[in-house]
Amino acid sequence: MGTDRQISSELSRELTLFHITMMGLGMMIGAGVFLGVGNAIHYVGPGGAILTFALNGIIALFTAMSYGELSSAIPRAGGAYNFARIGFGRGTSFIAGWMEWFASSVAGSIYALTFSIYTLRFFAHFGSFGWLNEHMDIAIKISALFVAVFFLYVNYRGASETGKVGAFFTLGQTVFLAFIGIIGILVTLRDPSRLSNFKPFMPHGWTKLLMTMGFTYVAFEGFEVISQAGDEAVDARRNLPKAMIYSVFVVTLTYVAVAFATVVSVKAGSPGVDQAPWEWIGQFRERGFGEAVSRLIPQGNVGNVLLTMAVIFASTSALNATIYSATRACYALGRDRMLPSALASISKKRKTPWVALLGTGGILVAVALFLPTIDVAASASIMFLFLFFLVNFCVIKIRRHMSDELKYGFVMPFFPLFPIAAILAQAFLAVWLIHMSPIAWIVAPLWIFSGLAVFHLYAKRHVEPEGHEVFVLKEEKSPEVQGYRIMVALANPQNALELVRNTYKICNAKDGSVELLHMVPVPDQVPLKDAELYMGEGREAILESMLYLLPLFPVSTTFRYCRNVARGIVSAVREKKANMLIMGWHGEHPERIFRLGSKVDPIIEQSPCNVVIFKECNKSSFQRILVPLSGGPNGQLSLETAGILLDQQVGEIVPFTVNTDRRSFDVEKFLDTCRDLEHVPWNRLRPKTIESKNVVHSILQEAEDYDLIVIGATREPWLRQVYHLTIPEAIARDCQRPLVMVKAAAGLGSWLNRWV
Amino acid sequence: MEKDALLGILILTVTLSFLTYLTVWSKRALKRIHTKGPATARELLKEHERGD
Repeated sequence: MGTDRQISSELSRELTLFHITMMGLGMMIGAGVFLGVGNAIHYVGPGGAILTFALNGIIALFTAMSYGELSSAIPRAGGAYNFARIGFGRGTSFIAGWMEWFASSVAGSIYALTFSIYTLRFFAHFGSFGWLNEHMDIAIKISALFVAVFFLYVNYRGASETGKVGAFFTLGQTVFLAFIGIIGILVTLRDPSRLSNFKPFMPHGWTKLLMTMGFTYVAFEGFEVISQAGDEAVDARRNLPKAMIYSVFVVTLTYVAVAFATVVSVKAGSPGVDQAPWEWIGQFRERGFGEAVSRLIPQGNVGNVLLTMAVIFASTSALNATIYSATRACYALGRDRMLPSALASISKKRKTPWVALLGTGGILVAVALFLPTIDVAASASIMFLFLFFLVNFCVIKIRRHMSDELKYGFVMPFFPLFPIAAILAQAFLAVWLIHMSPIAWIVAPLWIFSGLAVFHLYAKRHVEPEGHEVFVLKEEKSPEVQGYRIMVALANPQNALELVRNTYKICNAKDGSVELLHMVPVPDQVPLKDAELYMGEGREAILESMLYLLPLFPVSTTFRYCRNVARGIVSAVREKKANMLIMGWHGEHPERIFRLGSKVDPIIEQSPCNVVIFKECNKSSFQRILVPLSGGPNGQLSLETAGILLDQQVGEIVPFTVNTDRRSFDVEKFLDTCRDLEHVPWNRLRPKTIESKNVVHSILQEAEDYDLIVIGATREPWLRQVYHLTIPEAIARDCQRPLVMVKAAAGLGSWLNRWV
Repeated sequence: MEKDALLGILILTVTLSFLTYLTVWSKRALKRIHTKGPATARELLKEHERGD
């Protein structure tokens, strides 16, 4: 259990906003910009290169906002792994952590190799080490090994040292790139004719732009490393989203400035340039940026020296950041027993996860020494894109399902527009990568399938339950449960009889079975083993209901522990595949942030089945029922429910509508569309329509003459409901008569509710 | 000036302006939220609606 865990050490909180912003920038500015600018100019021309980085910056900012919102609500080491665990459960979260660990480790090996290649070639260029040219491949591998081990040691030294070293290197490369951008602008101001290098602006057309966006997008992945600092950042709920958004902003402006400087660096007609400047730069592909810088700063070898220095800074800071990120992903898997718990061991002296660091080092060094890095790098890119996918789905699901539980330090604007836009854009980019490396689309699924095997063979058996989950305390199943399944959520004996009496009518009409459910809310500070202490009233309510229903229908009972009643009920509805949920509502005015109440609102919003909520329906029979209608599936369900609850001998149902200046509804026409409904006593319907300016007031006034009001819940989008009290809710809150509110399961909408 | 260049400059301007707007919006939102302390998403949205 969570309370008796052996691992009690914690990571130290030493990383400031500056440190984590620099770590993110360090991972982004890695080698991407140096290799990406020349390639972008080659494929899409001078104007397209600038647009590539600007548009990628916007997509990256959308995903950074998703990361920021989730990190502010769940500031723990593990990043996407933690988000997936809370959003989608253990299996998905294990795969997320598994991919994160691998992708970051492999990215680290690529940066170690990049460092070695550029540094050794620089020395070879000056002839300092003649033997290098003969044994370059071996020298690169050995050098990569040394630099990897050095940065593994830096990470072992501690988070603060990690942050400080990362910040130092990142500052170096950012200053260099800013310097290049400023030189480019100054050169253009002195010689405006260089702007003609942008002619033609898009020589190969606009479609190529999507291609260049694809291969440079991974250069924006730094928010992943920032999210890993959840356990170590100072004031994490505030600083994590800030660092993510700032780093994307800075890096986008930097990339745009560098792309601009690269294009204007070469003067048309200068020695050796016998074609358009953009064509001249583009012909060098990944070396294009370096060649351009040599022209921009031509004094001796100054340009080459500066470029080499920048690549050294960039690759080492990215290496440092990726080791940090991979280690924290591995640590989180060990911490939650998804992998052996030894991986979560923390050095007492350094307060760093040293075993996870060793595991990460093993992958990093093995890949750097033995594997072809290009295709593995593309695999890492695909996995990063999968992770970003997942995080954008997580932010939607977690906001939908846990918006009343988690404490957010940041919420994004225009929700859920940005995550959806990011999902679509990244889907395209992931698919595009198949053109770059088909092998990557073999390696990535292989790694994922191996992760699934580890999950089923190891993680599933060892993982520990956590506080936010729902547990079954006691369950008695009826062997005859089949057909239409009605779940009744019972809380206390006072309203049990009211619910049972009405459940009897519905169950009788539907020829269904009944599942009696009592959720036991246990405060976070109470250990799980004491959950049974909170069952008293619920047990009594269930027993009373069983006495009434058991002789008539197949009845099952479930007692469940949960931290949040609404989520527990929705979870039970999904698990039991209930067709209808019946519950009671006290009818008191809720806290101002809820429309009907902290339990009722989320259940109406999220339940995938039909929902019927009774408010003060104590009478045993109803002879005059008012059904306010405005169409849709909720209107049909309210009509059918009214038919079931109506006294079988006498009485009438009044389908009622209020037309206003702006809106009119033909109730007769609507009733014609409901002819297929069962349980509607057509000969006892008395439709009524009135004209009024105030719909709510008119319905409340009409309701005074009736035994019962049956009204459909709002059909407005969830987002709009958060801001406004809708007509059905206003009626439900203010109506003094017995009332039933219904919400119909709605095909695709319910399916989306279940999965998103 | 060619049509592509005009369109490109327009896209670049809009993109960078939107990027700047969202960054500034986020900075202000973070400041506003942390003046009172973190809260549930529903509470934050309600506060935003009221203009607090």
